Amino acid sequence: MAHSKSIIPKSNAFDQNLSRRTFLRSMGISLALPWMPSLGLRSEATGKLSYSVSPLSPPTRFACLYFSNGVEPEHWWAREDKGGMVMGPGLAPLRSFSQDIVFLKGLFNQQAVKHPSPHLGRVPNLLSGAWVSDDQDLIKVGETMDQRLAKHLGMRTRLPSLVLGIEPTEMRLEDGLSMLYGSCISWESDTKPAMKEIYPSRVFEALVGDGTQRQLDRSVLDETLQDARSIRNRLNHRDRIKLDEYLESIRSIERRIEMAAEEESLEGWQPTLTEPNLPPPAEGLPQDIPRHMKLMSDLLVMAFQMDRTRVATYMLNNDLSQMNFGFLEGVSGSLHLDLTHNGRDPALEAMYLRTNQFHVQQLVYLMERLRSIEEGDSKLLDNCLLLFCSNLFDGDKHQADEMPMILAGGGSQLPGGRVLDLGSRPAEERRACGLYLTLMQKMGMTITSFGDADRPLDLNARI
Amino acid sequence: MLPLLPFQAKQDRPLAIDARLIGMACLVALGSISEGFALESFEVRAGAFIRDHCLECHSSQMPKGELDLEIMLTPGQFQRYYPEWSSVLDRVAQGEMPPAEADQPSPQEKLELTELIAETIRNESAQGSGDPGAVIMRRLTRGEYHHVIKDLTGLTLDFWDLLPGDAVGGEGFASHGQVQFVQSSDLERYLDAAKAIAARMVIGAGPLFFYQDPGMLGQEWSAITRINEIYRHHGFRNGAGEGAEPYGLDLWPRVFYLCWRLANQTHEDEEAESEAIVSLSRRLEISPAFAEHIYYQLQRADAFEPLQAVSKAFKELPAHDPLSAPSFESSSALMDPVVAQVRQWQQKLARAKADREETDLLDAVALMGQASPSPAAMQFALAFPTVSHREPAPSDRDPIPRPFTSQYNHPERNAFHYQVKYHRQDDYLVRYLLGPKEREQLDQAWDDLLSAFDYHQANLNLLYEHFQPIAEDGIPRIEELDAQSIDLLEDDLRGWVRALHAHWREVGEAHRLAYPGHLDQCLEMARLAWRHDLTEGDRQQLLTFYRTRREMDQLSHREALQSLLVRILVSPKFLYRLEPPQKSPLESREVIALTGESLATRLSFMLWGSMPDLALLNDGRNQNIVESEHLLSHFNRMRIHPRMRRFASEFFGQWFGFYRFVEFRGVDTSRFPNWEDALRQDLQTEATLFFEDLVMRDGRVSEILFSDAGFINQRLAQHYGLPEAAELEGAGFVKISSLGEHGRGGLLALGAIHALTSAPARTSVVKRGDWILRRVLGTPVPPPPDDAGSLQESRREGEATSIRDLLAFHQRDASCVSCHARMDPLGFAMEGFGVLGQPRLVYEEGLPVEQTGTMADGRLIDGYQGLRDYMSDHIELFYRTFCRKLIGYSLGRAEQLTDHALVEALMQSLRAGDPLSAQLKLMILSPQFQNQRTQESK
Repeated sequence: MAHSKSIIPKSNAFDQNLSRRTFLRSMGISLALPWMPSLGLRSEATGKLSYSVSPLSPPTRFACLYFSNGVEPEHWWAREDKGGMVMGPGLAPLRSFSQDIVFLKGLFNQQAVKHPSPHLGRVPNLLSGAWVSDDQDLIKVGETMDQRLAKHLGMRTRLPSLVLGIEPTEMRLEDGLSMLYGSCISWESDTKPAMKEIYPSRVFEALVGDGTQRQLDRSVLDETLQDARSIRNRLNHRDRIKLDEYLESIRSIERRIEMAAEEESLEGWQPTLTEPNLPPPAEGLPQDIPRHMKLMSDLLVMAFQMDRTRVATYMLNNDLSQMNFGFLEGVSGSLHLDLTHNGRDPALEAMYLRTNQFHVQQLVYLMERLRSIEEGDSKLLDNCLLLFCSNLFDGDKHQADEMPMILAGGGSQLPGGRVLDLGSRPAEERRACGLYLTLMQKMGMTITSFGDADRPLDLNARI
Repeated sequence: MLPLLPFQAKQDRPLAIDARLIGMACLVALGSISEGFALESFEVRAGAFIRDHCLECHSSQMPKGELDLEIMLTPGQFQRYYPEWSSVLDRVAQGEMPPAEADQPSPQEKLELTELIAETIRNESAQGSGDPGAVIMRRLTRGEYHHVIKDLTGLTLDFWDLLPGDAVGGEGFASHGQVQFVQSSDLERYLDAAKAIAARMVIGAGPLFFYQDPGMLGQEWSAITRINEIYRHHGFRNGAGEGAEPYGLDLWPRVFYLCWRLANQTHEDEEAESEAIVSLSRRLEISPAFAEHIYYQLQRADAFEPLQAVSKAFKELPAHDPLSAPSFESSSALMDPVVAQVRQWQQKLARAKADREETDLLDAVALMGQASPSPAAMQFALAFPTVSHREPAPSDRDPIPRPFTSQYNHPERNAFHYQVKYHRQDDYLVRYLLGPKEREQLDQAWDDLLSAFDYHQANLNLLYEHFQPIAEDGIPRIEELDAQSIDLLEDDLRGWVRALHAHWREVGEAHRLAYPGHLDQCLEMARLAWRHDLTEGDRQQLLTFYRTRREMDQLSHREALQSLLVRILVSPKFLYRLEPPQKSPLESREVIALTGESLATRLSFMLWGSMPDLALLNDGRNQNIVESEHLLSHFNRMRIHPRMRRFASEFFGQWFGFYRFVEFRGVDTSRFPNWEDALRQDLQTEATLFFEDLVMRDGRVSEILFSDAGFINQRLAQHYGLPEAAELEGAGFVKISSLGEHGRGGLLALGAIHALTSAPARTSVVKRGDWILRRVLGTPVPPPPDDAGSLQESRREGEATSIRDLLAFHQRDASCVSCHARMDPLGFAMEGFGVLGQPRLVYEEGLPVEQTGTMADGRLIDGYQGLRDYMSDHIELFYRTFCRKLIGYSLGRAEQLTDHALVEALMQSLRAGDPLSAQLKLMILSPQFQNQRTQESK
């Protein structure tokens, strides 16, 4: 985590009246405060927020849709043909969308391949390419590209990012490692995952709640900040890092309250939706998996449409998922144990295929929804970069030296209908982190290296 | 003295080196290895064996099973690779390595290697032995949060879906700081939970307490519950009204017996008589005021009939010798004629009054003095009413109080029932039956009840509508009234309004008087919740917070107090288990003793999964606890406390994975229609009770595997096909100690474990074997190689291949065999248990269940009994796993090399067959438990 130095003006007036935020800053906690007025986003004259980047055209959003346990290689292929793209059976639901996608083959994360734990060593680093700590007492991976983006773009929206999922974390170890690793593909820092939200009602509340309720809580939160201050100096370094998570949380609640109040007065491009167009979801977890997934997709679309966030990740299942696909006709058994590790039994392979098609259908649904929404002269889908992927290719073999990845959306930024097969290229040219560099650059970041890559991936290359 | 301290601190180092030297000396003295050899490093001495027998497979080039022995032999790195060396020791000692197909070292060589590793572990661990290690500040887990709230408020609330979920780390427990995070959404959940708790705080005229239902409705229900409890406990009722149960009627024989004893004694003076009344009534558990009242009534000379009739019957009782003291039990029957007189006259009066309620007499006498009854009736009713009080809420049959119309279905009567709701008539009870303490509690409960909604305003509205239906300026708010405006009211109305207004002020005053007490209680709650003494700064901060809410934010006392509690419960001091080091010059040392409060907190979270209770916290504050004898006396007290049950689910539940088994969704419901919530709950209860019993009985750890006992209810007995099924009807869970006869008993026969180790629609030999190796024996196999591929473990539809044939694949491939030769036989031994734990002899397809397996060393394991025999021969491994888990759970970190001495002590205790408490005791007395590391070791 970056710890930059504090920049408190030393005027007396300030000292006497320490504001909450000044206090936070003076605590020396991660001070890349993206939402601070000091970054010059607020017009001096009007006090309103304004953007320097094309203020009147819709912004680009990024979402990563993840499914666990890989694919069956025989089902997962695509090639360009005279008549368009030809795809393997795993991709069947995407056939009418071939013009909107880029099929990527051969991308990988070096550290994942090297890791001894075939599952947990290869999941949490999907979007960072970092090494997964194998020390039982140390949770550590690396900051992921979506969270890097969130820090870059998060100042502009109520939520810096949306981290969604379906399954809760299992309370057990696998290969001596915490199952936390299998449940988090977004990491705010090396040592802190962005925990996903699996309750639709809470996502809804975070997106559209007006903050009035929380306003009342501010006095409480202010006070607990004081508690934190009074104990912080007495703690050792590692405990301070933990306590700083708590401080960050308070700050982020306050930020949301402020953003909720300011959304009305934003200058520049305006989202096409200001009031939610979904009913508030019921409390609790939906018991029906397809409904749960659809609801989360709908919320994701609404978040983008209302411009409440521009960055999202969404885990359709956890790694080592025990998700039971009995809701698909002709499928029974658990995803991981029965269907992925199927011993090449044809009947089970067919079920495995159905589950992967089901995952692809979730992408298709998301694309359809995004395409149905107009944003000025474009479709919302054109203003979204979607990455659909798993961390393993051949799931049965825990194969990580390539990963199934599909890009979608992007409008003119990303001409579709193409297959980018990098399989035969040298390792330096097929790093997943290179793809992330490209995507982050497309999202407006000036960044030249990330993870194990020091060059972006050329998505327009002809192979 | 100060300048000396750094030197003292540094003395640790030379001491540690000494210890190592001593260790070396011991090693030399052992003589099994030549003296010259002993001076060489471990790496040199182990190198020859490793090179000859291991490096072929475990080199840096090809670290099979991710074991790179070459790098582990880097000089000076033994500590770092302690877990790996430890596992090398186990595998070689168990004869599993080198594998059978490789050239075998001589038994002497193997022995030398294992002894060398063991020695080195001992020597290396002596350096810094008992190091507390890097324990990261822990946040309350979901389970701990629930326990703490239960202990703090007495409430059992369900926040399982609300609070942030847990992951596990270290040795597999949720109470590990590394896997605990807080992000803004979590903090919001904590806010929501704290508000839900604060809403259940009853803030009334008495002390604060918590009630299960939230808000003002909760206050109303709590008040009515308290009122009824006092009424029932102290009052009496003759069964007035439909379906009403009589109670408290035994007061009559008791009081007559007391009067009889008094009448047969002579007392020097009134004081002596009063003393006699007090002492007798205490023995009879009745109120002295009641006794005095009745005694007076029976003695009075001016009595009319019917009082006279009762006192006549009393006076006709046989006398007893004043020196003897006949017991109540032996003489209560004597009182029957007197009681009969009372009953008879009560009934007679009730009949004479026809449709009017007999209890109206009480009304008349006690409240208004209006509609005066006859002096005779009044006299009698004052002494012997049929009820001591009336229902707080007038039932349909009860009349509503004057001045309102009590006519059935009259709008006024209905309005009273719906809006005013309550009516207090307990004068007799208050005056004669309650002690001062109960009277205060009853008054407080009534104040709480009548302030839980707009009782006074509703009453005022009704009065206006009754006397002055067309009020010119509308009906005033009760708080707008004062003495002058009341004086100006019309005659009929004035008296009623004045009484009502006075009562309203009384209630308000009673509440205000309670405010300071409430604040004190909140501060005390903060002390408990934060698990440390409040500093003056803390106190002032909390009080200022309350005052600011009141004054600046214009909140009511209730709202401000709730806000204060929320603030206490979302503070990092509550949510995190802080262990701030002592403020002393010793801070510069790397390892220091925990403060008393931190130690008390560690102890209670380890044993109870919750905060310390008052006694423990107080001993933590005054540092008593840091002395072993005090620590142990608390331990001995705490381990038999009912809260100790939580240790069963928190420690054993997380270790073996049945923690929150009720939430397990890994069973294919379409294949197992009987997999319903009730069965899932029963399997959870079966597992929990088994371990609670072990913990509370203070049994031995070995019973986990070898016990023949278990807890079964009827549904489970049927599910498992046990003969006890018929006898268990309606019996709930019962301990059955003969489960061994039916092939059950112990951890490995728990249905929850079978479900957890199955695939959704079938059992899995591999998963179960793997589970036993990981969780029970603590010797997990490494992950499969990437290119291992998989085998088909489940049969195709209608296929009759045996599981053994399917799994035979493992035996063909050299890369599979070394791990599967360990997993599969253990898994096969559990094939006699189906997915849901039910016994089976044949598979669904009709093939017989195969439950034998042969270990690499040729040992045959046959079924569940065979598995238990195998476990019995490998009990050391199980004990070793227990040590690792206990250390991981208690300390919040993984086991490390410097724990070796503790492990040895624990192992010795386990081998000696000591009960569980002995191992827990060793744990809490260990230096790693009582100290903390303030800086990372260098």
